[in-house]
Amino acid sequence: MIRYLIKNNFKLMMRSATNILLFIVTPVVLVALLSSAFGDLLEKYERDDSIKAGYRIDAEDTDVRAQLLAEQVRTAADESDMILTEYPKCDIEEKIMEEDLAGFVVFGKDGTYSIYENGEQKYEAKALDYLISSVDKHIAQFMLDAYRSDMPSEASVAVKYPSYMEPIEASDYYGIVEVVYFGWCAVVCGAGIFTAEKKYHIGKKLRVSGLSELQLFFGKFIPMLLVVSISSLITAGITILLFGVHWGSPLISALIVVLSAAAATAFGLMFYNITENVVVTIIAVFALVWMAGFTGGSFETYMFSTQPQQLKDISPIYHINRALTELSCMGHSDYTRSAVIYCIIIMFVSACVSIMAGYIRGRKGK
Amino acid sequence: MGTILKTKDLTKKYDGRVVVDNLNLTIEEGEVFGLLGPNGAGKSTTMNMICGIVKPTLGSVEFHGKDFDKHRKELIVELGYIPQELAIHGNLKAWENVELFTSLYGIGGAELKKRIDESLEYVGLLEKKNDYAKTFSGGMKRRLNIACAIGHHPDLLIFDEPTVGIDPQSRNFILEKIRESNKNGATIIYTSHYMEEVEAICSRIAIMDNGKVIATGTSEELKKMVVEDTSSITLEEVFLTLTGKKLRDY
Repeated sequence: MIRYLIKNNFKLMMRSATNILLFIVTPVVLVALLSSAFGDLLEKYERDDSIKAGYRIDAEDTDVRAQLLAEQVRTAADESDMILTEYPKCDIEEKIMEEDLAGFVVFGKDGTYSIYENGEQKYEAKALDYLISSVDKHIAQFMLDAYRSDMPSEASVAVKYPSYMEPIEASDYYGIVEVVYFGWCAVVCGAGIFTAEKKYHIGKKLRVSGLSELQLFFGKFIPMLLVVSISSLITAGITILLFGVHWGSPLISALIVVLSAAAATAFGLMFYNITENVVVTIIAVFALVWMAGFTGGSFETYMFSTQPQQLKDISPIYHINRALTELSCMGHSDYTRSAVIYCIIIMFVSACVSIMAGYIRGRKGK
Repeated sequence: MGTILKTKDLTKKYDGRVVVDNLNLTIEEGEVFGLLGPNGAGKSTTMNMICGIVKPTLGSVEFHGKDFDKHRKELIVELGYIPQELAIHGNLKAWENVELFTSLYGIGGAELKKRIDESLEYVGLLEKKNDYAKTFSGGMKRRLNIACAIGHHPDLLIFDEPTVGIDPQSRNFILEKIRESNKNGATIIYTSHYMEEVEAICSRIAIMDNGKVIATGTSEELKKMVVEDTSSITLEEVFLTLTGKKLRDY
């Protein structure tokens, strides 16, 4: 009866002071520290006046891709309360200084573009960069879809714009991303059990009882997921009470947090089942999670991060952070779907590899 | 009384090194079978193959007349394994430890509660059922280790050095309980480095060395293999004569 294994593993994890410290106390302390440290940065982002930027189209009138990009950027800027003015012939640097522009965009051949940033308005310039790259990405996707579906060339182009990011408070941002980040350290909550199973040969005794690899996997996966999910929800509750963190849509956000914890748990278990070494597992998982968190906005806000967009897109934490942050400040997010899909894929693949690793080891008689 | 367990040409190789070599053992129902051998003789590997933790390279284990590997699910409930290590969780209470390991054999609900109390009472720990295992002494932990393996009422109990590092009282208690289990019908396989223990409780003994059984018989029969006058020799001397005095640094 695997339910007693799950129950007792759950008790063991809940009785560990390390788990409470890591999954509840540390994130709360970090939210306080980071939101205070980076509050100014996000306050600049939470501006009252509109961002002003200039642009010029260097491409030919017949260059459909360039004209389309310029047109869509203009529309997106309007929707985003950004003032985008055309300056056909000018010295860009002079114009930026003269008009106090955050940046200047030059639309080149075949949809290429260059952005000149105002060093004194780097956050606003980053916002301009973010807006243009989002529109460009959507156009590229649209064209790819049109190409695949053999759409006639004269069909009208309808690009769905991403709504421009609403301002978000530092406490909301870090209150959300730290819960996600520590959830990804899920493997730590199973470390005590992994160690005991190895040191005291408990794993051997479990195998004597004839438990299958699937049962052994779920015997750890379910209690770990429960502990991480409960701890994350408690942390979220504490941050709401202490710092007034807004989670936007509580149900969808809770679902994403739990799915993120499930993916993290399966990912950690996979490493452990492959290496069978707690120290190696924790170091490897921490290193990977730190990298994913670094590119995904767990420390530096993803809006102002200098990481290439492609790198951000690889990080599951970026999708989760962005979905939850946008749910908090906008009430909806285009990233909800990708975050959920990403988590499910990681969970499924990790579970399969984990079970297979245990099975192969069992077959080899090790 | 028939044969409860039989190993047929049981062999295990690790990276080309033969650890257990064509082992043929027959254990009869109701006996206490002692397995002796110096370190690295292949005792633990043999135990692990009998329990199904380690797959044999060659050969098979027959349990209750059936191939253990093929009928593992059906036969596993008849086997109780008490490892040399204290395979218990210090952060679980005594009853929770017994619950965890007994439930793995498909026992649940009210029956499980009954079995937990029964097992703890058997090893004299019922009064300590709500105490955490980490607060127990070495002897208590050994007894709890046994309680965790008997809750499902197996008819074959495998004890792998169950008296290592405990006081004489606890050792005596454990040996008494092994005798009692045997009287109640359980077949026992027992390994230990304490010859006097083996001599006291085992009805038949096998001595293993270099992965092979080099001698089998009762204590008296083994002694007779070495000298005629068995009163002048101990089992330990027989063991040393048969396996040699060279240190085994494994």
